[in-house]
Amino acid sequence: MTEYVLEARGVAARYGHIEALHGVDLTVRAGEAVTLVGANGAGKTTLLKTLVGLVAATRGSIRLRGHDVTRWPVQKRARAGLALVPEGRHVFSGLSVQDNLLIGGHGRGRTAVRRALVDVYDRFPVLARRRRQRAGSLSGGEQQMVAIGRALMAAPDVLLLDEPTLGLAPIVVAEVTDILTGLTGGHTAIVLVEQNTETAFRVAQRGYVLDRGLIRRTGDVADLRTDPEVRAAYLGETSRSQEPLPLPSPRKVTP
Amino acid sequence: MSPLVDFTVAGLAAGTTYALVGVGIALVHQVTGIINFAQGEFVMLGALLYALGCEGGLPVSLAISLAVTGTVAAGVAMQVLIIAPARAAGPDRLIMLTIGASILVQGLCLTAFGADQHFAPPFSGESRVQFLTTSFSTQYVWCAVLTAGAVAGLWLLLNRTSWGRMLRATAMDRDTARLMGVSPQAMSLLAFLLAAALAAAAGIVLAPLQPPDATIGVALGLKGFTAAVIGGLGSLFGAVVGGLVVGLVEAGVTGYLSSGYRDVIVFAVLLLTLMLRPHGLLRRSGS
Ligand SMILES: Nc1ncnc2c1ncn2[C@@H]1O[C@H](COP(=O)(O)OP(=O)(O)O)[C@@H](O)[C@H]1O
Ligand SMILES: [Mg+2]
Repeated sequence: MTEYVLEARGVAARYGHIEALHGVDLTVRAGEAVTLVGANGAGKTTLLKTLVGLVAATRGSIRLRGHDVTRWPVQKRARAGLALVPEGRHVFSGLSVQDNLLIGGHGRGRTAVRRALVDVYDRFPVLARRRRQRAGSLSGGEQQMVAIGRALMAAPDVLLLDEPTLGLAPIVVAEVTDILTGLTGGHTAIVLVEQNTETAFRVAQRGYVLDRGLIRRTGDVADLRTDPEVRAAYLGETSRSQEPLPLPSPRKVTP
Repeated sequence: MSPLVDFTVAGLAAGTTYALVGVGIALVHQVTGIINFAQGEFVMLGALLYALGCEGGLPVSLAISLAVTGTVAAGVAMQVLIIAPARAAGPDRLIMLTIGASILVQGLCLTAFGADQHFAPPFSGESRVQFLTTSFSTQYVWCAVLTAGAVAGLWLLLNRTSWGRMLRATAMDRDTARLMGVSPQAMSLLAFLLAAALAAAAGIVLAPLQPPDATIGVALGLKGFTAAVIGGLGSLFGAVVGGLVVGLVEAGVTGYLSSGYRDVIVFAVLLLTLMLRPHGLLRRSGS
């Protein structure tokens, strides 16, 4: 057994002839919360999709709890403890809130599912009140809670979240940030992708900065948040973000 | 005898068959993205097995079991042996394979059972139902009852069981369902199995009304497809309505024009629907 619950080594991925990830290393320890930040188009979504298997890794390896899952189909990785809250939430809008949650618990025993449901309703009381409502009729923030709760129903070892605060009103962003903070410190490790670095750095202890398909910086969140170069060049927080970056071309195929 | 009542009753009866075929096509399409043009052949198989069972002296319950088991086995075999191995080709190309499967099923049935018609007695013998000034065979009532029962059973399965929940989730968003651990292959198999069971039900009620032979599947499949398209290919309820519409149009044309125009008019309806309301008659266009 390795010390990592999730371990990606030299992972590359491509869309047609264009390589979007050029060999990424990312490791997550049990129960740890890490964040993956980077400008729009850096490859964050692609990396998460590659980890769960929605995009095939063209090079490198992915290990989950020590198993090499690089060639496993999406559903098998999910059953082995990997959960993704996808970009844009993707709730089953025609299903009730409760049915969405139950799908998340699919494959677990009856008692475990019942207990998980109680847990999720505890965490998100608004979902308990709306359990019979169509998920599609909920507000964006509530749908995000459905998506997170649905992923938690599987009691995953690793929970990947792709921009969970995107498109939400500021007050709801604060609420979701609190929810994510509340998820840390338990059994489930978290990989949080955020363009909102405020949220990212509050939730995670450790961070990766992804730029054009390569990890550019990694370290404690405390160091990353004060690193002026990170702030300026990689997170697009100042006017310098408009300048061309002194980095390898995204089309470079061999590292 | 009132011809209007006769045509309506006969049209609705044929329509229930098309409805069940259409529901099967819509279900498979929703879950897998594939249009299964072999669906009509499964109705043929169900009808033929039922009639053969009756001719062979089996009691009705055993003849029904034979038809359902045989048809479901054929549906599962098609998914396992033809659809699943080729799934990497994607739904568009798999549609061609379903046409191949349809020819294969028909060929096997012709070889095994010959081209002759086979006969099954009505469920309740020759009894008739009195309606206004006319009367019609009780078999038409069975038709309505069994179709309603099959559709209700499917509805309950989809809405009240965890398998149904997974099927619906897969139909709505396949990749997200996979992220929850739901296997699309398992769902595809389940959809083909359920569609075959619906086809068997359709064949069993059809057999006493229209003695089946090994060649009736093609027309049934195309009319069921028309029913599903009228319903928008997405809605099971829409496919039921579509099936009844096709049955009524067909009966009306047969009664008031000539049976020679029957199929032409039905396919004109299909063509017009595809051209003018590609999302079905019941759906808002453009959605
Ligand atoms: N489905 C796709 N087809 C082709 N290119 C894509 C696709 N998805 C993403 N890309 C490209 O891959 C790169 C990384 O995109 P993405 O992973 O979505 O970045 P991020 O999530 O960091 O904004 C971008 O250049 C993007 O244009
Ligand atoms: Mg993204």
